[in-house]
Amino acid sequence: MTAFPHLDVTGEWAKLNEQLVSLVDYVPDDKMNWSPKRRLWNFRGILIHFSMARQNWLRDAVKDGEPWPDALREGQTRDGLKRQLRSSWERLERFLSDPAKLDAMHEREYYGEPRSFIGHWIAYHLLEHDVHHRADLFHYLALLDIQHPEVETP
Amino acid sequence: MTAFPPLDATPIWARVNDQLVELLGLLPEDKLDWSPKRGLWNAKGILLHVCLGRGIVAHLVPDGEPWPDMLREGQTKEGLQSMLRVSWQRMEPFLRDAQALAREYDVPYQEQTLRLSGHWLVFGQLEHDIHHRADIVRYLDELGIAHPEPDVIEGRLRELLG
Repeated sequence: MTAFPHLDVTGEWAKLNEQLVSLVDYVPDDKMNWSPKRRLWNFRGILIHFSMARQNWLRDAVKDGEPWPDALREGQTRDGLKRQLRSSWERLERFLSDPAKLDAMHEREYYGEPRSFIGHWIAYHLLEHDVHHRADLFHYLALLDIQHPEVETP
Repeated sequence: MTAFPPLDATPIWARVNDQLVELLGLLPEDKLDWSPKRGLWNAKGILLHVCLGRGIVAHLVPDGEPWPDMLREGQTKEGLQSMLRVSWQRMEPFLRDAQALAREYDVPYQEQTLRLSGHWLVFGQLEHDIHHRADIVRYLDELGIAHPEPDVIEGRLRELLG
């Protein structure tokens, strides 16, 4: 399929989730619903979106049969946001640990059309999703002059 | 090193570079030096940083070719787009070399030397590309410039469909 060797990167990705959990505490209470511009997502929306994207893919494509959490309700509090980040990562880890699921094709309906995705593609998508939206959080914090841990450290 | 199976991620990651080139194309030339706030890097600085960062990995599999003067070449939009393409091409041999990926390297960092695997370094590079692509997306948002959204499934579905 590809001339590129597979990458042993999930162990590093796993550390990113705890960083997301810690970033929740950098957002002041009165800024959870803040975004820099009308129509851009606010902090809370982005934080909920991490968890929901993971849960969506695992339910709708991988069909892992695990219960569907009420991430929207849970995400209304700081502790709930953290719980959702942790529990959605744990669910994702079970998928990422299973080579058969990564190598398998998974069906998902999208806008009424059935689509097939290999597990590696789903994993990459969710990795990219985490990194992309973590960058949003860093950017928002920087705009608010809130000091935060530097992302680019070995 | 880890209980996780390795991921077939590089072919999809390779498209991030095309997206960076495309997003840069949307940025007006007179906004290359713009940032939303004093103290934040401007778009040109971010994209040069992406290109230069790739040099760390590219130099682990030396090809004997001189490394371009990216700071000089990347001062214009066209030059910067060229440097994005070149820096990706120069990094690719490392990404295709399973032995080089598995090897460990001494990496100087803050007056110490860290022993890091090629996979570790590549994760950092992948993360770096995506992280700074998100910066450029946000800058375009703040400038009110319409752009393709990397975080929607449509774009990737189009890729799958060719």
